[in-house]
Amino acid sequence: MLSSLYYSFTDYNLIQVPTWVGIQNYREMADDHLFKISLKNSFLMTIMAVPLTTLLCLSLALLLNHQIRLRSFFRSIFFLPSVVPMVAAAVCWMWYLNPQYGPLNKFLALLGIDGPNWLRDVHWAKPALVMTILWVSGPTTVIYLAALQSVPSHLLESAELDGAGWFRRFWHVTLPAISPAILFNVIAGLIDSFQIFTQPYIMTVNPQNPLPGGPANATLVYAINLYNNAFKYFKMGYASALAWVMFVIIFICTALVFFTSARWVYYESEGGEG
Amino acid sequence: MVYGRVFLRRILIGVALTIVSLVLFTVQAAPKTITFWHYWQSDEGKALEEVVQDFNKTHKDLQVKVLSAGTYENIHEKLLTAITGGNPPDVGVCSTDYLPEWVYNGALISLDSYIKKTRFDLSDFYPISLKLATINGKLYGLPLNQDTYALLWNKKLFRKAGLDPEKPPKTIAELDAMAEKLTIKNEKGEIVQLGFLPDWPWSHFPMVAWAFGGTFYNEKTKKITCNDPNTVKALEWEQSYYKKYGLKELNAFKAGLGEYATAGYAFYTGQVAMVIEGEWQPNFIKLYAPKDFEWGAAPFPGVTPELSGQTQSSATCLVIPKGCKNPKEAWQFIAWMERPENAGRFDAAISNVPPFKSLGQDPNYVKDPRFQVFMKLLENPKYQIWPQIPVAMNYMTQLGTAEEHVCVAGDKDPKEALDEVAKAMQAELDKALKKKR
Repeated sequence: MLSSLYYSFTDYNLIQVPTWVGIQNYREMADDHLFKISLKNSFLMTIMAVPLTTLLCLSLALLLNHQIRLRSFFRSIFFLPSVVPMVAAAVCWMWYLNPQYGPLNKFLALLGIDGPNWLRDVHWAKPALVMTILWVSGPTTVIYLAALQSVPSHLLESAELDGAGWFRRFWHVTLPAISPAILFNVIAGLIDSFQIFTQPYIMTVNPQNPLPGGPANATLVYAINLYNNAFKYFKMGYASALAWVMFVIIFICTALVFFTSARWVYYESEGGEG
Repeated sequence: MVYGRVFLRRILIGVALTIVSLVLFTVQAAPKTITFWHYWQSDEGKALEEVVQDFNKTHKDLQVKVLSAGTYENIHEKLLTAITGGNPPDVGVCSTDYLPEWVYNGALISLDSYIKKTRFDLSDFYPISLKLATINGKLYGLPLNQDTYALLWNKKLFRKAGLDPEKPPKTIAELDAMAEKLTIKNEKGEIVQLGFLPDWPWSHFPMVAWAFGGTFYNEKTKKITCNDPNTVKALEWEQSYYKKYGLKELNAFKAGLGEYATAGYAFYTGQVAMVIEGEWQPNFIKLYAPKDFEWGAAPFPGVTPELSGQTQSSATCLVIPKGCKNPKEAWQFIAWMERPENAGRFDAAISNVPPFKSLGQDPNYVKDPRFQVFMKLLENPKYQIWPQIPVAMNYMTQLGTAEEHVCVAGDKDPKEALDEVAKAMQAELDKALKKKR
């Protein structure tokens, strides 16, 4: 980490000895339109991915919390995608999203929907990548599941006795009880989505776009721009500076979420508010 | 007991010395091995390995370990990582698209001293082939094969549209008119047959711009000129196809097309009538197209007949990476490989253009007259190449993105997009030139 901080103040092309340039790399970022585009793309991906992941995983956890037959089987099934190596999964996703042969568009056609050209369409490439993020959210579901099982049952029972329906029990008892888990998953999801690399790197390369990040920079996320600068444009010093800026941005976002959490997160150890 | 230990120790030392001297002896007597990384796969990779095995059979003192180390998309990164790690292969490949950036950043060793020392004869190479690998007067690679692009057309579709199948378009205007006749829509207004699309199957924008008399760089003033009026006109021409047939309709049409290098490739299935394609097509068509496929090849037309025959050319060169531990042996292999009978054999097997004049003018080299069209392009005196500046690859990438914005996304104007690229790349170039390493 320290050496990357050092490199961020140098001009380093990986082949020759780095030369000190002070804060020039950081100044360059202000004018770099690819930096701004990649920042925007990463923010958009995070804003799409984190709420959707929370909704999906929480819903799945609620369903998996019931005493149904084959419960462990279903739990394993939903956890399995996160165990598959991401590179292999990304290659499979490319086939899955193929507009002509892929199962997704064939399925949409059954519903009468004309599926888009996913990875080659400027508007649908990012949603396609968000889908792959949702697909590997098994661990998040497991964490929610564990949290759900530690909801104090006496509170749920007394709420039921007081005449609260399912939704009110969920909103006033369950949610506050699992809010620490939600906080953890939101922060973890934020950090992960912002740094996503494998899926765009593998899935957006094709004969039309030999460099990842297409089409028209729609999937040029922060990590991809960093990678291009480091390994294609011989600007390892600039890439190191980009890495440190990413660290600071994620740190600030995490801190924001953490500090506003006092208003909506309830810890069991505290007085019992809520 | 003490006596026993000393005796044992001496025996052990004696055995160790014997083993060490045996090992040293065998290592001395074994032939030197160098490594060669390339990016060809399956059949093409096998063809290269066959030629390399000939070297191994005829050179008992030097053996070449050949490795398909990646694909065209990632071989350069892999080589760069190896060079950085201090463990590069002795001989590598480098596309001339990447070569300027690589040379300016010190990743390659110049071949000039080896050429002079061994008096290697460069006269059989096409001047343009050598120019592609020459930066600031020094040669950094020898081209193993070269790509050129021409206009290919489907003769059967021409006949169906009432066009003479033996007469390809000679100007851009003719191309537009023929493309119009060759585009067929169904009752729903969907495109079922497309006459021509300039950026399909992938971008050839530099070639198109040169066909319009456009430029990208002024060597004398060191200025990026991608926003010069003719280059802008070329991008507007590409955009006109998207405007004419509709962005949504074209994207929907493209979404339904088959994969490249398969029987489903739209040129082979008759879904696209004319296409800008490369010299490997005679081989690919034999492998993937239907047996009764009829096609022709001609130089890509210019906006005027004098501007016809422009092509985008890149060569894959054999290079010696910086940090190579056996440069003399690496050169020995490169010098052997870069002979018409060796490189030429590989190029014929993969239907690529060899960089040798002797083969270009040999009618028996590749008997298909359409292949000759691709070779003849190398003799065009007005041949243009991509600017060999320190930010060459960065420039090409940003230009490609601008083209995508204008055509595929439809959210930028040609002049606006090219102005942006010119501004950004001029800043990058100025920075890079100031660095003078």
